[in-house]
Amino acid sequence: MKRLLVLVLATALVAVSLVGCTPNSTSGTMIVGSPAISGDFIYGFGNSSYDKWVKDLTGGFMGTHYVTADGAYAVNETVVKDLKIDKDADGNKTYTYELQQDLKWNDGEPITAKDYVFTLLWEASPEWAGAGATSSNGDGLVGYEAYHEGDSKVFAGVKLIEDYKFSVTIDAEQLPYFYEVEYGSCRPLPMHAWTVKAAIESDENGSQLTTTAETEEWTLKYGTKRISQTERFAPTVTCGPYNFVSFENNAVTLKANPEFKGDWAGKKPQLEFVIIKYINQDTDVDQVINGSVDAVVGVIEAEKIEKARNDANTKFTDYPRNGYGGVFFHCDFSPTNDPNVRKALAYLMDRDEILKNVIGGYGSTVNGMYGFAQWMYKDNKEAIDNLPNLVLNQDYANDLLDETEWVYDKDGNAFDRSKATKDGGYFRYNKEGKPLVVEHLGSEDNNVTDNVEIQWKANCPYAGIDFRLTRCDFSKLLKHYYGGFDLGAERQYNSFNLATGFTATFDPYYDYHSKFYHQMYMQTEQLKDDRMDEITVRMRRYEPEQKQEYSAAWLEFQQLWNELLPVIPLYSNQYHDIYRGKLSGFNTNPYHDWTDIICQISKTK
Amino acid sequence: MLRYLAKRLISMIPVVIAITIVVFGMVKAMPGDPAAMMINPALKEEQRIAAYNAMREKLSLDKPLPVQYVKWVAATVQGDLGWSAMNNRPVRDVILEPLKNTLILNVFVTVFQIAIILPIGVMMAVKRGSFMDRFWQVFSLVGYSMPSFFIGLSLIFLLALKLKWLPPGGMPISAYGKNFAYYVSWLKYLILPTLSLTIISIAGAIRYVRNAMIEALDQDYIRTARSKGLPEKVVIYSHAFRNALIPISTIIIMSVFAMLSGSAITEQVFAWKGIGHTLVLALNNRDYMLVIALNLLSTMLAITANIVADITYGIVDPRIKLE
Repeated sequence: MKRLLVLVLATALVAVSLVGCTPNSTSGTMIVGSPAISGDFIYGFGNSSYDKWVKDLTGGFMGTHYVTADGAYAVNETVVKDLKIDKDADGNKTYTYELQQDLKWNDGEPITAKDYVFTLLWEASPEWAGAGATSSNGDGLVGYEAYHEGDSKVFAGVKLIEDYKFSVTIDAEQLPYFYEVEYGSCRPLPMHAWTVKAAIESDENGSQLTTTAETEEWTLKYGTKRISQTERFAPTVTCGPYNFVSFENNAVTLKANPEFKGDWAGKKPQLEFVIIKYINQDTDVDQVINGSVDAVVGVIEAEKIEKARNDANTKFTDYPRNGYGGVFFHCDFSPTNDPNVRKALAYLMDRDEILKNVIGGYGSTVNGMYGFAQWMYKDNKEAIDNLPNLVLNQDYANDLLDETEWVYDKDGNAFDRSKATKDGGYFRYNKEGKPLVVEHLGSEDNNVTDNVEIQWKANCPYAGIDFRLTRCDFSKLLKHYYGGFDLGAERQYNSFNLATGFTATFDPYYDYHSKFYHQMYMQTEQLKDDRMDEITVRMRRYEPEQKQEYSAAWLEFQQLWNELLPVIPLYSNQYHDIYRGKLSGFNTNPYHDWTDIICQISKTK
Repeated sequence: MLRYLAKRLISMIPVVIAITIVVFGMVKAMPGDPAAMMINPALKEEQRIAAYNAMREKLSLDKPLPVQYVKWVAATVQGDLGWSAMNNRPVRDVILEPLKNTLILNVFVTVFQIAIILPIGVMMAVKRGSFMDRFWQVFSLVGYSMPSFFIGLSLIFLLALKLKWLPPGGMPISAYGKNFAYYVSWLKYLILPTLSLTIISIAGAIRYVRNAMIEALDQDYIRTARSKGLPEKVVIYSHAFRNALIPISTIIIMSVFAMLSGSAITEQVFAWKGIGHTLVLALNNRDYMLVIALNLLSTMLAITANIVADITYGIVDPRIKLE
């Protein structure tokens, strides 16, 4: 009996000591709380922002370019030894890269020019699209269409020159383009791991992927399918600062890659493990304070922010959102097809009140399509700050509406603004006797919808607008927002409350050029304006080095946007990345999320 | 017994067909386009249309609804539950891990549930009107009336955030390998959801046990047993409890099977990757095939629970002949 007791006690002691060793967020491990993770971990599959964290940490960082803290593109000198840019007689532009020779995959194999050429041949191939991947890599290069459509096995715009030298040629049709680096930049994929029996044949006509195997197993067709069913869910050979370890029970475990040379500043990862773990978003900040997770990012709720600010052991980094939430109009649908109606609606809401109610003051309002972190904003700050400010002004809203067709009352007499009171019932009509009705669609359980309703229900009656609001689930909202123009008699709504964000490439051509008018998912506000067409084309047609000219055109665009007002920008959040006091180097900004600056983050014991 | 089972299984077929039609129809009536949600929005217009059409074809969304239904049934019978739009992989693969996690959680909940409701329910009936009886009746009423998310969040607030005894949710992490400590850490993460589900499940079940026992204790054969001079323990456990087992076993079997189909709210609150949590995600992401599969799983579990309950009646009460 005594022996048994001793044995039980000894076992319990071992168990307790092992539990004591249970890994938690101590030295070397950072646990980041996240909403749901889908599990697509290579580029081309899925569109979850949280999966992208894993994609970037494992498969990123070896690109030829990176985005700086103010949203500009720069050459990644950790990767690129030399870059030459030449223009040929046809106007095509060739980027010739010479790579550093000390880059390695996580299995120790060298990263060479072949891997960069391979990426373009692989991701631009019809086979990759056939395997379910969605990629536009290679688009804009010479010969892309023929290669991507399967008309040619050779990708003319991509050339392997030497082991550490390759080139890509941008089609003259795409040039000049201020963001041409989007076409010219490249990143590697592990050719030796993904297609072990493949070779790249390259000459002056371009490059093609061939196989030395006798079986079909290693052809693009079967190779892409295999990768889409294996590496996609658990990438093995990667080049980023972290190696993929597992995705289990809603948590992704990543371990530092010892072969990683460094980020653009040459820094290596300082944390041994990074764990991205699904957590209940209601308690996300509490979990940081409690120590269950080390960081949660992009927090916007005032109550949570206050809680973190008041905790001595919790730190935060805040930065303005590169985008805004707002009321998005359909500019092709009466009555919001008239810019004066849209502007009048903007002057019929108190945006400061909305800002306070929606995000508790942690944010700001903008008057154009810009973010405070953009270098163009910094260049033009004074002019941008002097754009007409959209503040509540019922008289001015009436002035604007008097410039529209909605200038009559029900009986056909001139609309008398003094009769328009808060009780409503006295509306504007056009000469056909149609009342001025604005139909807004907002998502359910959304405090922006609630605030839009409060503001417009209170103020629209003073301007003779019959405002109506409908709530629906988000997918119905998107159906009407994206495809309203295609709904025929079912079409009903003029405005929608949504949010948007910008990337480093600020190219409003696809958003506002009339070429994309009435095209699903493209020109979502359905604006048709010659001046807008001209400016959006002109903004693209500067050379990358014409920063001043681009910046001036950007200002013109913002002024025109403010005038046409396809969107009422309501609020631009101040994002808070909240983390435990033990972490340092968490210097995120609008262009660098925590994964971009992972090599700067360290943790004290 | 076998004949009875065969008859029950055959009688299930039209029920299952009806259920599949209802489940499939309801899910298809949901708004939203799963193919559109899976397409990379950064693609150019032509690429997006091509990718969209390919995705619709892959998900069979380009076919008429009856064709989609027949294809789905044929595939399901062969074990192919379809393609999960949200996870980009077969539904079968997607539900394995949550199913395992739900099973693990519910093994603990079931053990605690039975270990608590039987002795306490019996004691409440035996000591009717006592302080203990009244205490558990109030507990039962409060526990039954409180929303499950409130119980879960209250436990998190108290035990995890204030006292810092337990993690506020989530699941064990295997970053350092699946060693002994990893398996022990499961216990740490299991305590709060187990506690929450146990409170919810016993709150209702405890009253059933009490009422079944009270009914049994009021029977003539109990009076006879007592008048024979049998010890009270024998009267309670051999005579009354045995006869109270039919309603009790029904409650336990039904609740066990119901829990196996996951507890959407509790799993969500504790970020426990079980069937219920997966169902909520699938619904939010319009993952039709996953929703259908999980609903089918729930209904099949309910049907199975009924059969198991019927069989159990025959075991606990020899008077019931399954033939």
